[in-house]
Amino acid sequence: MVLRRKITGFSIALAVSFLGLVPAIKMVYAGFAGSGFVQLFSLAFSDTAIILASWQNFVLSLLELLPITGLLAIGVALFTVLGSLKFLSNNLKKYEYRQNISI
Amino acid sequence: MIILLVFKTGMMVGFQKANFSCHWSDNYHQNFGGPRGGFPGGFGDRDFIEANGSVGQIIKIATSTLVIRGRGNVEKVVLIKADTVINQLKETITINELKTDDMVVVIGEPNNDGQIEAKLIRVMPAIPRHK
Repeated sequence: MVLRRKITGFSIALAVSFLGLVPAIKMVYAGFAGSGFVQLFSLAFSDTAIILASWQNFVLSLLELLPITGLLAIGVALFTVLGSLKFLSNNLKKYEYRQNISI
Repeated sequence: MIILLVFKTGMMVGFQKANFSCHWSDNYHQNFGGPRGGFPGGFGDRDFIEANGSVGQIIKIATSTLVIRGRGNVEKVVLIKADTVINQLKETITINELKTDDMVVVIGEPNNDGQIEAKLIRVMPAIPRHK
């Protein structure tokens, strides 16, 4: 009974976090597009020598433009998806086996 | 260990942004002609300004400074020094060849006057607007 509840809970968590990935990815995309991160990053290819000379400022400015909230949201959603999948893959067979025995 | 490293990096970046934003706010009157003594209440809950670089449009060009309007319509003063490299396509150009409305990417060092001392300014190609 407890296992069944856990499986239901983790299934819901899997579905919710999977759906949550979509707005999180959109948020990160908007963050990268709106912040100028891509233009700044492109300097690494167009002005390599100067960027290597002042790499600290370059790295710091990239870090400043990272869409942290969106990346964090993706991280949490992915962690939940993978955790739920792990739990379900480990316990679904166990649950089916118990169901078969009880029949 | 990794979490500690990420945390430390976040703290360092946050400190830099907060420090620059504070100097930017304090020197706003001197740089742009706003309220004397900075903004009352400082930055409040607004996002802090990026300190080590800027991506934006040139709105004013002076002898050795540029004013750039960047993300969130924030104006930043960019100081052009003797060692500042200004690149457009494959050429190195001078400040005289810059034009207002040019899109630029700046990498530099923040100073205590709330300005960025530029090391590299890259003029980006204009993005064609779709009708």
